Amino acid sequence: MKDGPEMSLNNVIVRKGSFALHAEGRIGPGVHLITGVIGAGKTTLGELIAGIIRQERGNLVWTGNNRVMLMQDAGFHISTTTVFKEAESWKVDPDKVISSAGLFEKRNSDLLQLSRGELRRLVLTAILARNDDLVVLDEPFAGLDDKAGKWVSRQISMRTEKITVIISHSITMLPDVDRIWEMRDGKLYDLGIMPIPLTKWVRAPMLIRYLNKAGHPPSGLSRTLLEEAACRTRESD
Amino acid sequence: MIQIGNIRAGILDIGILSISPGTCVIVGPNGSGKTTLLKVIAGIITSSFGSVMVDGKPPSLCRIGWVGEYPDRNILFNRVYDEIAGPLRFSREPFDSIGSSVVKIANDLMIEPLLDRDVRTLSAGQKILVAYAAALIHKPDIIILDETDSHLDEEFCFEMDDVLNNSGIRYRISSTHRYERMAVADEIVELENGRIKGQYPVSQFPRSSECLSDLQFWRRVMTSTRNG
Repeated sequence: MKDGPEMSLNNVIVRKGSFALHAEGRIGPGVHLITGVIGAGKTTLGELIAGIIRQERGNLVWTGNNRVMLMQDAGFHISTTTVFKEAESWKVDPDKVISSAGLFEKRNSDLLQLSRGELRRLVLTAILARNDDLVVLDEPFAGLDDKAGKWVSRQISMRTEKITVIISHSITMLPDVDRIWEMRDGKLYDLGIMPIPLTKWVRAPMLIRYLNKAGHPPSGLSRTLLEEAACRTRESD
Repeated sequence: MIQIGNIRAGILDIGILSISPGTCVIVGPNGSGKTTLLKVIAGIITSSFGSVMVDGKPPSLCRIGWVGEYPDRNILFNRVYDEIAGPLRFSREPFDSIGSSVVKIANDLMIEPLLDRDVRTLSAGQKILVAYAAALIHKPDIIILDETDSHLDEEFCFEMDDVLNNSGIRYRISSTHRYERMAVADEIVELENGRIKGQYPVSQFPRSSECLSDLQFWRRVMTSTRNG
């Protein structure tokens, strides 16, 4: 495992109503993907890792500094009224964030005038600009168009020394992922370090199943590697 | 046919658009007017000029079902039963028929055991099923899914496709950014800066140089993995 901030979860249990989450494992620097069907507890795990909620039992050790989470609904992050003020509220260079988010022309717009996708881009850009030790991104690609999705992916790739935890159903926009985890019935499973999990991922998305079946298993989960494998199946038609 | 003529609303500026019965997907970059177009079709936004007609009627005289990106955000009542019965109660249907309609739709979506539960105690997936049930119970002429797929796994989406395709709803209109979701449509409307960039049957959607953005590729993936 690389040097850097690390989180270890030892027999951790979190309860939310009748739902219980069990987690065990070590999360080091790099990009982690958390998969699982809807309702499996992915968001609850994200909230635990980001320090938003606490465990009921067990031990969580965190050796790094700041942690932050992009919530599924970026609207929950809003604390001001305009694009500029919102970027400023994250204590980052507002102009830089606004232009990276492609919102320069709307810098003085009321936040309510942005589309959902534009708001998500703004909050995501501000979060990534902070460069915190640990960032949890809950469905970062939801509601983003191709161009924005690829941009987000590039930004995440630059966080090599830090921990990025991505919760996502959509796998075609990802950066290079180092490790895959799966939430299943409230329990966290470590599927291992890439690219091994791709061939033994039981509940893999249909794209992965298709590429494996077609004899072109991808060597990683990044958009580039998936695209390469996908095109090979086209050539062999 | 849904016929839209000379509509201007927000960023949206549409000369003429006709949508045939079936599954139609609206695509386009962030801020291109997808949600605005869906709201125009649903009659939530009206334009002072131009017209929207659904089989010859304005949207306000049609039954519309709407499920958004965060379906649980629009939940009004505490008890699952009351939430699903809402649309029929608001339209003053007879009490007895409401009861049997609720049970029927809950059965179709396999959430009958949840009818007495408090909505807040449900899992995320169960809440979405409740939102679908409330949208489907009054047998809408149009069902609109505004990026509802963006937080759902593909298996869940396929199951809901089957429910909608067997529901007898004449117009099933959704917006999405996912190519595998576009590939299951009959027709695609592409927006750019509030204008119609193109309208295609799914087989004629422009091919992309990137395989992962190519609908023909996704149709192959689906045929191959869904039939064993």
